[in-house]
Amino acid sequence: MAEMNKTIRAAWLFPDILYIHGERGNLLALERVAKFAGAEAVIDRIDFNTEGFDPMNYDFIFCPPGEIASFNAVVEWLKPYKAQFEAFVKAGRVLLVTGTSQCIFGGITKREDGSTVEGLGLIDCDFNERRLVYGDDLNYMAQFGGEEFEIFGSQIQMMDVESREEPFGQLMYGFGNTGKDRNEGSIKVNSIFTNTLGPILVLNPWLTKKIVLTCLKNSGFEEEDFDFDMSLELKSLETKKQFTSGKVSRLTNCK
Amino acid sequence: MKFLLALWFGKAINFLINIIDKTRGSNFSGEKALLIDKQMVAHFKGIDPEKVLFITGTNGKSTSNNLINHILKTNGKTVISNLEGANLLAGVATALLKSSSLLGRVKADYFIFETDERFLPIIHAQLPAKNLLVTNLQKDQVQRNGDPDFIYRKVAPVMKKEGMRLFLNNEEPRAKSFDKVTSNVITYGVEKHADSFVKQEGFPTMACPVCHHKIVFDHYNNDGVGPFLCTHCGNKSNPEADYVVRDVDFAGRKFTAEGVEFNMPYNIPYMLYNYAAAVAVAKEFAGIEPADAAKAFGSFKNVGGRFEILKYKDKTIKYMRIKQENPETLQTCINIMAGDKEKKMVCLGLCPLVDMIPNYTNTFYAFDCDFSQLAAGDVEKYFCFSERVCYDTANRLIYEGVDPEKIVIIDSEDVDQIFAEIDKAETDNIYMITWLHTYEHMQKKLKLKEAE
Repeated sequence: MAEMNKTIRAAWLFPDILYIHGERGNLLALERVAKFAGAEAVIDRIDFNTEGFDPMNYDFIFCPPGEIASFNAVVEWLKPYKAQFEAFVKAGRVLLVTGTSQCIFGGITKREDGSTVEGLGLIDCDFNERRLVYGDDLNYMAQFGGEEFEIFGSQIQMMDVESREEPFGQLMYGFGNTGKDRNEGSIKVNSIFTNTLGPILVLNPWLTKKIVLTCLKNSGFEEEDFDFDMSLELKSLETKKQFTSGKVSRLTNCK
Repeated sequence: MKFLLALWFGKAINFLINIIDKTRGSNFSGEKALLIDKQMVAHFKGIDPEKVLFITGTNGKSTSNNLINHILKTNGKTVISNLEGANLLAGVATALLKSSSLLGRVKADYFIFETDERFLPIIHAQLPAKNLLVTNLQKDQVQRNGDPDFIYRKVAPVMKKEGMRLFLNNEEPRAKSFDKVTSNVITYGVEKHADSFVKQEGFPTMACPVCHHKIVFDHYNNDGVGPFLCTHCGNKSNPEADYVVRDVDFAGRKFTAEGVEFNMPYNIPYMLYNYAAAVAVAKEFAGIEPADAAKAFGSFKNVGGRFEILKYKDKTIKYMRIKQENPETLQTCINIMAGDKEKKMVCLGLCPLVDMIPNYTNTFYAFDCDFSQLAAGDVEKYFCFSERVCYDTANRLIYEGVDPEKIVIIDSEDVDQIFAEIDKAETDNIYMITWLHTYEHMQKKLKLKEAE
């Protein structure tokens, strides 16, 4: 297959509805790193007006965080595609879900006012909306595609995550799913559900690279390693780790 | 009796603070007095709720408060207010106890208080204002506020209070949506002007606060503020607000409202909504005609530290303060820099967040901002400084297509290093975005040098 034809087909779910915390950066990172791999990322914006949506048409689906108030409308729209999403996850394609939007793909979200949001049930997780927001740094070791990666990001936690799935990462510092243990996020085959903002793919290009390689492999391209300059991100990681190791925190889960 | 004890205790503290430094003490005495009487604010005598205005929202509270105060006072009204920006319950308590008699009676024509969004329900429970100005509800302080809907839910019950009159930004979707809960609404807005803008395709807009579908903006007058329409439920800005700032002439520093020409004390786009709100409040709340309000605009001096000029050797440093974690204020500053077609140096000191425990290193809000116009302009170099997040700031610029060769990075907020980097610039046109304390250190350093 000629190198120039390498394409990663990406879907960006509800960019104007799930729009908080600068998460469009993740798509910019995907485009950038795909380019280093000699591939082009073609991104479709999926929203309420999209017709003929089929998750299986994509190599990568990104669902950014949004306001929980929007989730009922989003889940209603996504429900007819539940089986295709399940097939997508099972096939080892890459679904990246960040922040609050884990609720869309999980079970029940209990809201502070007593109401509930029922997610798609793709992952075995339930959620409890928090009365107080918790914002902090997040640093952990994550497993993806058979490799281990150090991840740094921010977390703005609006809900506690009761996950019965395999955790995506083991915390070195941060709140993670509940602030009570070292579990961060969930992973199912190659689908990542994480509390990490940042955007995660900008701050951690080593993970982005592996995601790009996974997407290309899933599309039948030969796995060819590629290099690019990550020195800026490495410096960022180092200085932030120093910051985190010296700061005052009330978290006790990583001690 | 508890109230009197609290009052006298607070007054004693104020007396002592006045001896030490008259410019301080906007919050402390109220905070301590509230320990004695938690309901202290409710116990002051002589306040007519019809004469009380609260100003709340993400951006523009302090400026609106200061401008409205200035207009009212210039027109002979007496006002009790928290002009120093202490906008929690203790700040309101402090302002009232400073102005009260020994028995807790306060006397003024009007009571105007800037109120923090999260504390609005708490303050309103003790001081049931019948007038509320909402500037905007946007992404801000996400470490404690999460997302705008979190704040929306906190303030919404106050909007619904019986007899409440709302002054609403016609072109900010969340603020405007409160017109669904009461009919007693006055709207204010801004006509399209030379610095109105659209964002590159690819930037998200926002979810409709009513139905959670997509909001489309015709254009932005400020980031996230402009004529809008929900593509699903039809929620939209009014074609014309009740009070509109028109004919904006930044070069001539003037605009019109209600057919009257106004001086523009600060020719900065983001202040236009403050001007519109102030004209509306002056007329509807205090009965001051626009022509009389206009007389006050020429002499208005805003609270310091928003936009400052610092002369350094042969260079002019234009300092703009942003609220950290707040993409709207960052976008506004980017637009100001992009609007300057002269060659410039851009100094970006985005910092870790240190206002509560735990401190953290959020920089993601920069990805909500469109740097493309700035990157396409005549920028000699970008200087990314500040501990811990300078690399992320530089990376954001690289993502916008800025040549890495043009970016200087220093993992420090040391003012000597900042001045040294500014010294190296060929251009004398220097823009700086950073925390106020870094800017104040720079100011202090220059004053010391001048004194030597």
